[in-house]
Amino acid sequence: MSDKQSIPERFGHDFLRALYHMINTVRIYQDNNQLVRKSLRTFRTLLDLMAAEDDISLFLWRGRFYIGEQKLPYVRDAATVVNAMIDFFSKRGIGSIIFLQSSRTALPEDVLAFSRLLDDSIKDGDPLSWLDQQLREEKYSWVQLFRKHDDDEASDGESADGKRYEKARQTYFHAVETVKEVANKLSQSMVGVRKARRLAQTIVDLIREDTSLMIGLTTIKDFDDYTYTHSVNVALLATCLGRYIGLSDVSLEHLAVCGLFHDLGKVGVSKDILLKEGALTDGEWEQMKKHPLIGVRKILMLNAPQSLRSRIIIAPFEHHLNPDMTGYPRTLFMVRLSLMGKILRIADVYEALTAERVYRPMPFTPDETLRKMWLAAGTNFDTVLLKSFIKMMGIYPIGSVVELGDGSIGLVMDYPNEFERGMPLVLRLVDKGNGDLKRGELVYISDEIPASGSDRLNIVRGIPPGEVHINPAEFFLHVK
Amino acid sequence: MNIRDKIIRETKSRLTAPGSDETRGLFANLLLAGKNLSLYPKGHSICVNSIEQFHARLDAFIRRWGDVKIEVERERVIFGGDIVHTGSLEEGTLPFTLFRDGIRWLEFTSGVGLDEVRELLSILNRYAVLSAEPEGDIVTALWEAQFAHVQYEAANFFSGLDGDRPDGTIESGARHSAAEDEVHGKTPYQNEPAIDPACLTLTPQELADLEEMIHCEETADASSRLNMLLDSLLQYQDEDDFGVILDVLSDEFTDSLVRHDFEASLIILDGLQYVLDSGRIRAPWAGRLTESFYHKISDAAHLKPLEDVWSNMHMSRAAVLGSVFQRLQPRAVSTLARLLLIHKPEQLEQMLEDAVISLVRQDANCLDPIVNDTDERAAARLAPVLYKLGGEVSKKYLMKLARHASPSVRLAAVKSMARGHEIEAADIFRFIDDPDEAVRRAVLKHMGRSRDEVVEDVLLHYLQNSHFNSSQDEHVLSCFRALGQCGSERSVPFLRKTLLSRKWMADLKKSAYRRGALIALAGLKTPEARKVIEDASRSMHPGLRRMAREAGRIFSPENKGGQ
Repeated sequence: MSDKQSIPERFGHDFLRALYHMINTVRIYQDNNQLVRKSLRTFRTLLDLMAAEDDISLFLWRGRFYIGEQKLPYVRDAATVVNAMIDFFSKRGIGSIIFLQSSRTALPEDVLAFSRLLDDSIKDGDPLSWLDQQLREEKYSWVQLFRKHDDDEASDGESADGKRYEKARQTYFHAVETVKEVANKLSQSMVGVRKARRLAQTIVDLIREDTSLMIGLTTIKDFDDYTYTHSVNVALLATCLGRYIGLSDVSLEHLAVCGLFHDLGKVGVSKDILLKEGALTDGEWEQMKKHPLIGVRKILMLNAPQSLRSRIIIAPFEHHLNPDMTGYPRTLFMVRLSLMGKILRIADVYEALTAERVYRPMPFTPDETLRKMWLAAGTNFDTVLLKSFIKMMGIYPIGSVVELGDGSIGLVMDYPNEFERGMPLVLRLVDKGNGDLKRGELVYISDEIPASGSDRLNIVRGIPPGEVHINPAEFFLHVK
Repeated sequence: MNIRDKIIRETKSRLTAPGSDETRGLFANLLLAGKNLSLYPKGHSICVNSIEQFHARLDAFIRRWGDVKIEVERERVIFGGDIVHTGSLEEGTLPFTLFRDGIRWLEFTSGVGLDEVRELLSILNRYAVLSAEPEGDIVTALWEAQFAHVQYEAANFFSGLDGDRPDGTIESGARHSAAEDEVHGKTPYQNEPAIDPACLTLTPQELADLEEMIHCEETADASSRLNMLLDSLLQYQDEDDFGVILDVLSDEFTDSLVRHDFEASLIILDGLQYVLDSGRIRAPWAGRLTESFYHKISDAAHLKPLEDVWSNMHMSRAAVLGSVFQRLQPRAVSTLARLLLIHKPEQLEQMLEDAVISLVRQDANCLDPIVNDTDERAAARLAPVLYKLGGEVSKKYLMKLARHASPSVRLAAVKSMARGHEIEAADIFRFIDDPDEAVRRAVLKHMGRSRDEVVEDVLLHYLQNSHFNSSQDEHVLSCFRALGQCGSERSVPFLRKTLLSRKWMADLKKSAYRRGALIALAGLKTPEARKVIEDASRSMHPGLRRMAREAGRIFSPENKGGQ
């Protein structure tokens, strides 16, 4: 970090991130919670530092944050937080927040209370007016809020949110088409990977910006094109896990391509076997087991840079191998699985078990799937990565249909805290009157059994979507 | 006025267009830097200066006016808010490259560093010529570069696809997808209990394991990939599949040399041998394809990286590289012999020579390309190696080299032949009439190294039956000198006759013979020889007497051991 940088330049993103975390923790926990105290400490440390010489002006204009008079540069790592805060400001009509120098001496509980007010203001029809009034009543003179500037259309959070959603949705379907195109063309000629790489890069960017959205998209299951949607879902889940454990962007790109292409070998397996309803004979099973090898052969036929090809070939080969190298294909030379292979295996099995299959018309629910997989930790899956996967997904992964403590049905839509997935944001599904379910309100709930007298909801169980006749993907795709 | 208004005002004022000359000047700087990068080699002062100038001007511009965006359209370039170009973009220019590759805009933001500008221009230059797909593209390069202060937007790459796919695609269909092995026909997990969240916390050891796994993945060790390819080979039962993997392995082999990763090279070579030896591939084509693989990787094209490898070779890596050499096919000798031209410490050269010898022993025909090559250096360097090889092959190829068009090769060959005892003197003597004096001298030096009746006979026969002109006097003298060194009293009659029975006046040209005979007699150092010299010293011919007296000094008491 250069010494020539101004304090806002050096700490701008940290400050935004601290404010974001503080708002998110007070939304869920009481003031005396350890996480709340920690986030407050971080925020105040930065406040102290940055307000030492001047007021701190956090200003949103044309979709970019300014701190002081300095525009925060785009940093890929901070994209999630920045986008979330743009969304937060926009939904509340906030154009800027100025922490005056006197904020350094504000009482800790006042800072927390202010954070809570910021968050709660969304409940009012005119959040900013409500906030202004609250600040006056509480005599919080150390902070000032200003309305979003009239000509600042570009900062419209919902629009940015919508654009991101649309981009993610398009990327998903383009990915399906691309995998299909590559699979079909590979049988006739060499196929390039430029399109797949661009997709993979977009997937990485989108996951950085909104992991929840991308996990939500994996609820899409297409039975006609199962292999292709399965491949895209595996790519998304694997890349999310890769990002969760801290892989570099370039590795994430390669992991995404691995996911997209991991089942290319199935194109080489007879459709009679792929689409067979009953149990496979030994011969058919032998054929089926060849698909990782056929996949390797197909990946080798891709017109790809050597550096890329060499990195995307191992994981597809390994995705049916266990940590002890049992499974298939049989190996003699390989002694351990690659990280990408282990990740792909977890994503592949999770995706497969949550999909409806010919021999299992009712797919496992996401939480049930995770529990099943957890039983096989260490034997079928790398324990460390499986732990990370479950933590990333949450006990009730995004896309889970759940029964709530009050007997209602909900759909897990998000976990506000990406790294502590304890409190999901659930979309209540309400009866239209004809037995069909439609969107209801969004509620934060606890996964703990509510204490007597508590008004906090909890999740009682996960339920198969088929049991309530819904397709979770339709809610993520805003069809319903 | 509060800060918010100030920012808006100042930001807006920044966004108003600066002077046209200023933006155009900056744009011209950018184009110039890009052009210079394409014209001059990397690191050339003109390149370096123009990039630095552009960066300095850009930095000043941004400080004054804010971020600078270059927007590229089909018939227009907008730079810093100013239209700096209208009309078709000129191929080869920076805006053309951006437009062609779908970069809609590129923005330099506050804090942009010289390194970023340099790298950006380098990327744009690298892809100025439309590259083949495997070589990558600008968008990927920009994405991977992750510039902190250079942002861009790429056009939708997928415009040909239907972005508004009907949502019906997500509806359930009647058909079913393929079975998954993990769950097919059985339910491996049953009645699973709830997951205790506390179990999910990674222990310090698990965290360390995770870090290690990430590190291994990011550093991309080739061995996993190679082992995977070898395992694939074991599984494939189809000739085409097997061939494809072998093709990949041959590329991998060359790449391993490029990386100086000889362990990886060995994994390939040993692994493939193991695949064959294991007998798992019983198809008749397996042996043929594998043989073809070894043949292929031993050719000059696949071994080309060895030049760089050998130039930078360190002793500590010699053993493993030597093992790689030993596993190549004999045709690799063409490449290895050329490496011998690069001077290296003795131990390394020894290792390389051993490898060459080992391969030549497998198939000596591999030497033909070198022997027949017009490049004489490798052939000349090969000669001492052939000496070490020994045997019939050595003799055969040294004899071939001794007939090489290049004098230096012939000389090296003769010297190498002369070093050992396997090649008969008579064979070496075949080259006595070589047009190059140094070669002839080497032959005679070998002839005269010890008393040897065979050599003596050969020389006597040569001197008695050859016709020399006056320009060959030195050669004649050398032959007699050699005769004196290798000969015996058996030569004395010839020498006597040469010295005393000639018709002097009629055959003045033969004076070289007389001098030579005296030299030979002096070299023989026998009583018979001495007697002839004494006879000559009493000759009627004054010149002969003088020469004989000079030769006779060799036999004088005070010069007993002299020449």
